[in-house]
Amino acid sequence: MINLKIFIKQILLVVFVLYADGLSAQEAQTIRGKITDEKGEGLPGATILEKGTSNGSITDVDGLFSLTVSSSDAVLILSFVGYISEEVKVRGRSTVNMSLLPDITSLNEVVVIGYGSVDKKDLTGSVGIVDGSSLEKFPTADATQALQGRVAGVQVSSNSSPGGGSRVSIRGISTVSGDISPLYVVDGVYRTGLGGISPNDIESISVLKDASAAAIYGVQAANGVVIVTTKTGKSGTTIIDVNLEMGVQTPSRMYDVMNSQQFGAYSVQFHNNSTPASINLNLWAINDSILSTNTDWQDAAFSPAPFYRASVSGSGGNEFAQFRVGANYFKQDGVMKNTHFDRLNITLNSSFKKSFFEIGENLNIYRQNDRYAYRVNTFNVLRAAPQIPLYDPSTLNGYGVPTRANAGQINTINPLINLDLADDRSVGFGAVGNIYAKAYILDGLTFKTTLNYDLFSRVATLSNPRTDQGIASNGNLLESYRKGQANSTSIQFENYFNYDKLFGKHKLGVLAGISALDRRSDNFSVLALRSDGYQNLDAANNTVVQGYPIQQTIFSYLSRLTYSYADKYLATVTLRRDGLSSFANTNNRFGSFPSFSLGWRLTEETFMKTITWISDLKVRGGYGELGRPISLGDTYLTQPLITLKANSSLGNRTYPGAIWLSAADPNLKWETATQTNIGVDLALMDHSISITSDYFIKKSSDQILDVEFPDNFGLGQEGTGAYGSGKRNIGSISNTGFEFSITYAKRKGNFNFETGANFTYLTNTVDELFQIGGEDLPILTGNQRAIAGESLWYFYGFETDGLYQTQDEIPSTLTGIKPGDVKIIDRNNDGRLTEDDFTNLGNSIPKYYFGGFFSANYKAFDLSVLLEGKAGFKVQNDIYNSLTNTSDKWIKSTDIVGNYWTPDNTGAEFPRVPASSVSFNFSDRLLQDGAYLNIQNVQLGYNLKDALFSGSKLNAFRVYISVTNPILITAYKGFTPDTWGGGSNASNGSSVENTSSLPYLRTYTGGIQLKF
Amino acid sequence: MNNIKIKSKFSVIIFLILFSCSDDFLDVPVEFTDTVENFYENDSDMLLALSAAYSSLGDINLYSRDYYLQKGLLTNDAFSGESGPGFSENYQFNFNPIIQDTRNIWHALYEGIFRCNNVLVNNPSETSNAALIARIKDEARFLRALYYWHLWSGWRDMPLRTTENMLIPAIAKSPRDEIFNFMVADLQTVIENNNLPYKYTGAVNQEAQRATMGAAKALLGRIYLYTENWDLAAGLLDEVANRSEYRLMEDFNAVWNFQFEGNNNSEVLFAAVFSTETGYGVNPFFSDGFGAAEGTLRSLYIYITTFYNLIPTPDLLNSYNGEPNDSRRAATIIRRNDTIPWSEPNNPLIYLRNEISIVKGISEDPTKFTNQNNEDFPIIRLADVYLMLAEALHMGSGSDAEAMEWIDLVRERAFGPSFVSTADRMSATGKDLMTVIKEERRKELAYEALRYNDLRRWGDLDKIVDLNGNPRFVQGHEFWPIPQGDIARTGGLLEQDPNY
Repeated sequence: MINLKIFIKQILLVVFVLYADGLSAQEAQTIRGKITDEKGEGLPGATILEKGTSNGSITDVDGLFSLTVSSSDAVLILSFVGYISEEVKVRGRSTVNMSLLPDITSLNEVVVIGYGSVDKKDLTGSVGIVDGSSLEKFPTADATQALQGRVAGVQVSSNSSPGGGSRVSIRGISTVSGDISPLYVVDGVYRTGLGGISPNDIESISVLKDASAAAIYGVQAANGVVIVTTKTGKSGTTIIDVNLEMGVQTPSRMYDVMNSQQFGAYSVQFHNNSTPASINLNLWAINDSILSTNTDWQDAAFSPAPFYRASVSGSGGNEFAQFRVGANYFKQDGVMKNTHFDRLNITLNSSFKKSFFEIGENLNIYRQNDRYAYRVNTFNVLRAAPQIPLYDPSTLNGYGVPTRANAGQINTINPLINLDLADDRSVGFGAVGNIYAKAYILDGLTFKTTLNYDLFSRVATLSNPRTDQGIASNGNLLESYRKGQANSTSIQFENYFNYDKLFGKHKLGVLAGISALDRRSDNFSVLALRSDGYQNLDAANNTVVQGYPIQQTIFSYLSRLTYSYADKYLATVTLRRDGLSSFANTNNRFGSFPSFSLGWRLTEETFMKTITWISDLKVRGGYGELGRPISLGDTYLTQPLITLKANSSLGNRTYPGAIWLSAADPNLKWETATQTNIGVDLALMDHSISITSDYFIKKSSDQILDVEFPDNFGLGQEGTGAYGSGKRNIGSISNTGFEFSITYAKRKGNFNFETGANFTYLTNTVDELFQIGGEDLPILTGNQRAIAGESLWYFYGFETDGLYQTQDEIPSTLTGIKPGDVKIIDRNNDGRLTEDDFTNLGNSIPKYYFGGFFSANYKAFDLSVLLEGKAGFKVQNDIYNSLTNTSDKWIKSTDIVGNYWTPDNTGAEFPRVPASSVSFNFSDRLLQDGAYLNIQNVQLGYNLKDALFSGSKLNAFRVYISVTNPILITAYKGFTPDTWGGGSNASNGSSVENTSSLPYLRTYTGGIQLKF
Repeated sequence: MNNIKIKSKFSVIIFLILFSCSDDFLDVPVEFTDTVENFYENDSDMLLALSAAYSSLGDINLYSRDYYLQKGLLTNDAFSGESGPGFSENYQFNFNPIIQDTRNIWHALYEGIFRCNNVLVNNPSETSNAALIARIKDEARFLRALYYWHLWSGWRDMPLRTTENMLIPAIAKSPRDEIFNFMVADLQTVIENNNLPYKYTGAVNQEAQRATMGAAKALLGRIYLYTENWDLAAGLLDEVANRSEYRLMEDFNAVWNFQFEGNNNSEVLFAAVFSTETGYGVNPFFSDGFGAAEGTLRSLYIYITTFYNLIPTPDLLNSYNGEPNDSRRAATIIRRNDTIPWSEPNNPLIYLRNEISIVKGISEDPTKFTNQNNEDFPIIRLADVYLMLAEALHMGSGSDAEAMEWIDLVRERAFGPSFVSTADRMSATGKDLMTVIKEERRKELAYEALRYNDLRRWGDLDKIVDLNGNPRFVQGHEFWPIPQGDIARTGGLLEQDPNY
């Protein structure tokens, strides 16, 4: 206790000494006044600050204020969000009245750029901004979806899974094996995504696109940076927000598959036309009794699912303390039966300022529940045969199962068995936030120390009871109980100085600091084989326990210098130096990431002043180097690890053997992206039109690839196919692009509207990759390739030319091919169909993407429309391709009914039944054009405040209805061509609608927003 | 302005504390396993490293399956059973640098060499048992020589991976003479160091199948024999043959059909050892391991219908003719109408798919009649030593009488109690001694992966024929080609055998 008292005394002493600064006596004067808006009405909550000090006040409900300033020649800075700030000289007056004008120019908008912020007019890098209000229009738990179509150069894929986040790439894909996701920075916390963050809590999102803007994040910024700022309290009046929303998600654009009768006809056709040699078909019994069952599996497994969202928050404060508390609840059932996501967020932000010292925090704690489909995906549902009954009381679990009689060898699963009986779920707890202290040391100089944290712990359980799956080949389901825990912690300690000062026409900004980041994860799981269905690890036999901890640290020095002269000439220089534990035993533990950019605001030049229709014109350009981070999971990539796998027996004892599977390259370093950016910001017609356009060249070199050693090096593990390899830096990828965005805003009395569009053109080229003996070698994943000179992961396969119509057309060297099979082009005319006949079938990365919005309000009505689209890419739809593959006996899409080749139907689209499997080798027939335009959201609102609650304290009472994904315009057959990144090569961003893709969701919502 | 000073001091202190980066922060230890960098520090690490060096012998690509099959394929003792990719090309001596099977053998052998080099290049700093480390290193030297012997008898020239160049990805090949010198030097070092016992005592059950002095001398003797250094070979082989630690098993069948259970097999000097916990396919849930019979069983099983196997040739069957008391025929080959002593008549799995099948190495215990029977594969055994000694004596000093005595010891064991008549003695056959040595080696060592080496050094490759009696051997294809991948991955620094 004594020690504590002494400690407190010391603290108080320090605080007193520091606070004494604020007591310096000067010639004080009290000023009163009123601040009004453009209509002359008092502005409550406007800030009045004595320039060059932290002395300030806030207007009351009527816009009135009073402030004691230090001298009679003080300057007051009057500001209010959304209005143009004004500086007023007191000149000995005791009353200062001022009217503020609304800021439609957005030039004075403050842009968060990482470790600071700048006025938009001073920005020299390429930064996209998304306002928090547009995020709330999307019925998703994860805000990444809402970035889709909003910012030029940012490509976002959709995701229909409950609670799922979307895959975001900024300015193309520039890595073969690394992660393409940008760095997310939420209130200073470095993250890999926006999981656990409620979109309702987000104030704004800044997307740092070019190297100059992102360079302050150094080795972690090669994919760009998404900075998320959460809502905080503002000094002024207290605000209470309540939002309630509910809706229903409907699975849309479903596939039409055959019914029992049609499938029976197909099966008979398939069987009868099979040549005896290839008959391996145990035909199901196509009789009236079996055909009388006609299960609609899509209807059984997919259904409209509810969606709820509720949030409440209160915020407020004065010039010394601000706070905000809020709670959000989000609940989304999946359209696939028994899948689910819900999340409860509680947030608390506060800051306290006294004298030159400020302390504050941001805290977001959340709990989320997931329930997943276990071993059932969309494809399993679509392929389930309709003649199998959904329920059958005679089986173990009461579900219909495939039997030899009703399915032959069409041994599909009954997907409902696992959807209903297997319980695969997880419960997660997380906390994201920071606590900081900030000292205002000298005029313009601040020091901030902050501790950021991101903690997540998840317990996942799977209970898989004994089931009867009939003859299903998917019968290798272990009766088991699995439980696992995954813990991850990320702790970041940052300290930095900021110095911002105006010396006449010279405006100087300096940032210098350090950052230390420590990430760990520690997972374990236990799998117990138990058939009794108990969720219990006790006394279970045959348990397998797995798990181990991993850790990564990054230490960084940050520095940035910004300078502008007369608001005309702008310059930014950034240098970040990073050290990574991942490269600890290489020669490249530390690396430096420099960048610079320059800007010139031509409209500040006298020769431009006469051109009045140009309100603002800035040209800017920059160059910089960034690094691609090593994910936590790959953190030991430079350290070969000992594995105890090569057992040997000597005598009657088994000895574990120690081997290593990789060899380190002491010169390995991170992938480096250099980027050059040239841009123009233009405002026309009194700022009613704003245009931003950028051209960039991004080159990502030193790709980290696994290189196989010669076999005689001797690395490897017996029987595993592992021949020994090591990571090496090889090759480079270029992305070159053009971005354009335009907005137009108009106010006319009661009618305001704003509309805008953005467009991106992107070319992706692999410059260099593996070479052997001067020859370029491809990397293959599925049907996609990476090779020098082509777009990354382009589709590679056969070209085709319709169907063979007569035997005469078919080269004699092609055995097994008959009329009605696909005519595959033998490009080298060698009479055989081999890989040598493959060719480029199109790129998987969209060349064009675009977005648009329209919003308007008239009196109490408001309307908004959001849309986006992509073009210039191909999509491989695994589901549709299987449902139209007439070389197998599985169920088909109704598209082939009456539309497959027979001698009497030679104009058919699809090959004969059964076709040669050669017909379905990967070819251009299995690719579809991905171009689409999606109306993302239409929302109509009406503010009932004036109608119902006029004169009350209520600020807004808005009701609205909203439709998400009302219309998808595309020729694509499938759920949606916007599956980029959703395929099996998700990390590589492949355009494959794979077998677990979920239906396109159309969501209808309605809600109420109250603001007090 | 005192406050300014305080604040300045405050900021200087903060600056000094916070901006002094320490590299320690970036030194993140790997907590769940050792890194290569901090391994090989103590006795236990070295034993683990040595264990890995032994482990490669049991690789699916070596004695667990492929080495046995590929070496057997290239003889007049076997026809190809079912064909697999690469299998039929190799059968036709139509060797091709891209055939995966031979690549896998090459890789597995170099994998063993890499592991031996790891043992030899590291000197643990924390050892208290210098004698143990010395023995471990000599075991690794023996194993390295053994792996090189396999390479040297399969390929003409090849890269020589030593402790000096083990971490250089691409190296050129060395002439086979250099490989020979390297093997000899390793084995001579082992013999001179005298750290390896002829037989392991003490915790015998756990150590018994480690490399012994006898194995080292016998291997060196075999290498000398292959290079026609007859007297050097005879000297070493004679030493081994006369050691009291080694003796022939009484029952020929027992040589192969053994599973180590506490007693060393007195005849086997060195073997690839299998157990339920080693070999291909071992996983924590369902422990298994392929034994030596993984390859041989294929010719018996009905349910393996389209996979590699070997079918005995009538030629080999006939070589046993005229000597009905020779137990080696029945222990090596089974005919469809033979009694299958270990079969259960109604077990559908036990089925002779072919008219004649290989039975050597198949357990007599029907419960072990599985491809996971965990029987060991002898690599050097005493009967081979006797026959090599006989050959070295005959070819070198010309001591034919002594050579005949060693051959008769092998024949006596094969004929068992019936070996009473002097007519069974080799000397009574009246045949040319070299012919007899060739016949005895064939009958004694059939399917033990030695036959092709013998045919090649005897110049008898033209005796390898197909089902129609046409020669299969292709001139110039005495050795396998170097795998194409290695030539590509070294950018051509490693050059192909000029015959390909």
